[in-house]
Amino acid sequence: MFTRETRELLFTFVLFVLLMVGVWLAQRYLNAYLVRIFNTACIYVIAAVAYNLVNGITGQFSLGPNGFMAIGGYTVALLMLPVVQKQEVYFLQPLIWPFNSFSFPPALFIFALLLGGLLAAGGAILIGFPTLRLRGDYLAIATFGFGEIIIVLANNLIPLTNGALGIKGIPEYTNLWWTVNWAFWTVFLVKNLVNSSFGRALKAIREDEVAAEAMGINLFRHKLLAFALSAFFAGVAGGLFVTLISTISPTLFTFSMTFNLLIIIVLGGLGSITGSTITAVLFAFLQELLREVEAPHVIGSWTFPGIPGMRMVVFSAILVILMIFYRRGLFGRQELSWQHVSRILWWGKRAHGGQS
Amino acid sequence: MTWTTFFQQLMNGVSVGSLYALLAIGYTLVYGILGLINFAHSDVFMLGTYFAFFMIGIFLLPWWISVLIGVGLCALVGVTIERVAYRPLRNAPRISALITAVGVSFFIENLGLVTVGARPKGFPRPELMKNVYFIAGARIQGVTFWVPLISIAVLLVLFYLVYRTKLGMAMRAVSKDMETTRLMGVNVDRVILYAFALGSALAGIGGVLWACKYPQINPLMGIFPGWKAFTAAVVGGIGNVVGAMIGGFIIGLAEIMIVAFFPNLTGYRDAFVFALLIIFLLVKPSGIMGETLKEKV
Amino acid sequence: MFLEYCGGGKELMVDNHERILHLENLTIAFGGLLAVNDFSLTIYRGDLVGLIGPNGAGKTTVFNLVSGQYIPTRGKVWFDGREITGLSPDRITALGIARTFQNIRLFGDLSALENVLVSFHVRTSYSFLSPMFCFPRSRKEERRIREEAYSLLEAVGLGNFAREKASSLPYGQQRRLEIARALATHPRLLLLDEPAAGMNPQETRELMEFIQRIRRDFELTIFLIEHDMKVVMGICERVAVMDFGIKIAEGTPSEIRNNPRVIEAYLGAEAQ
Repeated sequence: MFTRETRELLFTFVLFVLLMVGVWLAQRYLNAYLVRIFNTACIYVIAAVAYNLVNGITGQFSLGPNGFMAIGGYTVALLMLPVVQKQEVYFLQPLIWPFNSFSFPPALFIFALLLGGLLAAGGAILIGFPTLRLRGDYLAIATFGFGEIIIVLANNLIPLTNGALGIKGIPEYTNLWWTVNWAFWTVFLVKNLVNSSFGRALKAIREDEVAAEAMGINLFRHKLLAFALSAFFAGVAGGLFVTLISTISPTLFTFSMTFNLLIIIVLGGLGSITGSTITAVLFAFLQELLREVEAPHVIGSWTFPGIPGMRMVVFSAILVILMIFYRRGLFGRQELSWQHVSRILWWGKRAHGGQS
Repeated sequence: MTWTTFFQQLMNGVSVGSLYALLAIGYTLVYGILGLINFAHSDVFMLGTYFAFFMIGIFLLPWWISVLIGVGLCALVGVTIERVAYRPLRNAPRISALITAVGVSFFIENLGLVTVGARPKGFPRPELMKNVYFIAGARIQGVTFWVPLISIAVLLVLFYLVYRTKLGMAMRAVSKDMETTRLMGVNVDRVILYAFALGSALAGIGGVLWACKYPQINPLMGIFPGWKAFTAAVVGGIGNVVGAMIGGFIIGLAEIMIVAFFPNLTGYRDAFVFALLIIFLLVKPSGIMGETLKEKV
Repeated sequence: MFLEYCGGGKELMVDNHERILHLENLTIAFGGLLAVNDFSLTIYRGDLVGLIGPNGAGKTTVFNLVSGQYIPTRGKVWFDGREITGLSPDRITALGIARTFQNIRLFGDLSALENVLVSFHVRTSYSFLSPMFCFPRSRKEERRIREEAYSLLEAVGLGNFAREKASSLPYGQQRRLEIARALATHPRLLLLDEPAAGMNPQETRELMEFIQRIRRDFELTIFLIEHDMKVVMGICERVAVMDFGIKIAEGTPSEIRNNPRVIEAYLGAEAQ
């Protein structure tokens, strides 16, 4: 009846409609706590899928997403914070021109997000330019440095970032509509890219750089493309995050953020976009569960005070154990495709009906 | 700037540089052999200070003995990390080993935060470090004088080990060609363990000396020195021991001098090192002493 | 047998006698070692030239110099009338030189079909945004290259293995797939690095026929490194011999067979 591609697009569209109905219902009936977790989950989905494009698909080890999220976050914060509020917030040193004299009206929120993403992509090109030409692990060390340097800059460029105090009172534009839509479109776009000729080229680079180059692939251009695209979505995720929690400070996007994303993509399977999507949502909930571990407990005569950071101990232990014993993660490099889904859903039918 | 302050800053730069050098050698040894950025190395550096701190504070051991035990424990930790976390992944894709390294590093840091807390602790310094010397009219603190001296002495011992002993020869051979060295009958696994032990011991010494210079210790104190030391190893030519030392001094001196000449940029101190890394990667990615690495086709 | 093969090549040689590859005093030093020293060679369009020599003579290094993996310390590489010295491997491939590797370097985790498709990527004409937003153009193109890749796999006898993971294919098939992948870049010159390595006599015979066939079907010039003398003497029209980075002889297989320097090099190597 239809070609496979058309049918899959149709499925995707149905999924989108279902998601939107789900959002509508959630907005109405779900409690604020759960909505917040879902919002966080969607932001994780965006950032993790983008991160996997570099680490899992292209096989380049970046440690930079927290830096790119910070760029997106600060950009959106500066653009969306109303001018009156800016004067209040920047009481140590006034905000520099032109940000002190304008702010985007709510209708332009989407452009603020896009700009945040583009600036993050610009940052990625700046880092990628010297490092992605080289073989070896220079990207890892440069992006790690970059993430830390962004924090240094956020602390010191007080007329721009308000230093350690951060920016408070950012309008809370982000809601489930925004996060779910962005998450959906990010997964859709990145998955399309991965399934295209470009995606194959990126995977070829992951598998064997020498052979990929010998087959005519310009390594530098392709790596840079993947890296910049990944940073774009990370920037958007950062922008969504600050307009969700309405505040940003240098401590918001530390290395812990990158680390969370690393766990998500390893758990979901390095190289599996759908895997990252699923584990990102799981992770958001797992994180809430582990908050329990950090709360004070009384066991017998021992009183354990709240241990902030215990979560991270558990997460890093999980990461190391995963890498040693279960490197492929939940999905390996497999993608959950509509073919799989229909096989599961119509398994009985297919047994009779043969090929679909 | 007067001559005396310049001289003081110069000494300061040399002393910070020598610490970076100590730390950079651990990175470069492991990278040279396994092609792995040992992210946990900076945490071994941190652990060294805490081991010594607790030996002094709890077991009330004399300073020197505490430090020696601390350094020994560091070597043990380094060997354990290699044995438990890195060896199972030796034939795995590179990225898996790197992720594990990041995981181990983060584990140690967060375990530190949970067990000893984020609040910095004061590190006890021996009298020797607190003395004040007058050299060429400049007032030089004991630390600024002794830290580079001890580091350089340690570096000399290391060079002897690497370039004059059988073990050192084995290490260099493994880093040139692991498989051939194995065929020559060298126990490669053991050589790798020794490299970790040696690098980690150096990190421990570096940590203690660092704590003498900046006597506030906390579980995250290793991150920046570690990253800068790795940068130093890159600048010097990754995999090259002499290069790591040169890189360490360059980074240390550059950092201190920039802050000395432009005091209002102090906050950006770490950003300079980053800029230096980027410039080096653009201009001379193989580093000062490094040969251009060509993958064998 | 040899004459029979010569017949296949003859018409191509008559066709034209232009140089397709010209190596001029190629020299490369690793540290102090001259891996290739003053190596010159001319290959004409349609030729099938072999490069032989003892282990470590620098044969693969010559290939790496031609395909751009290494940049020569001295000397020049000309391809089809233009100098390509110092160009990056991907540029050189785009110009029409493809290669295989001595130690097979397939994209192990990708399927056989995908391995071949990777080589088509360079000539796909859409931007990366097109597939992201499902533009019809990229889909049409994708369908086209898929068909082409399929027929290429059929042509090398791997049609039934299209969906298999490359790393799970048997050794001989992997060698074939590597050649198919190289052919997919639409080369005019194909560099084969020890295509018969690790093959049994039966497979080797098949391979020789296969090389002859693709040469005819794809109008290729072939430059190959081989240890198996049967292959070299059987299919090559001309043979160059290397020892210690230097070209010590060049000529027809029968000339090479009787060349005292060649015999010495090989006996010397064996005596070690």
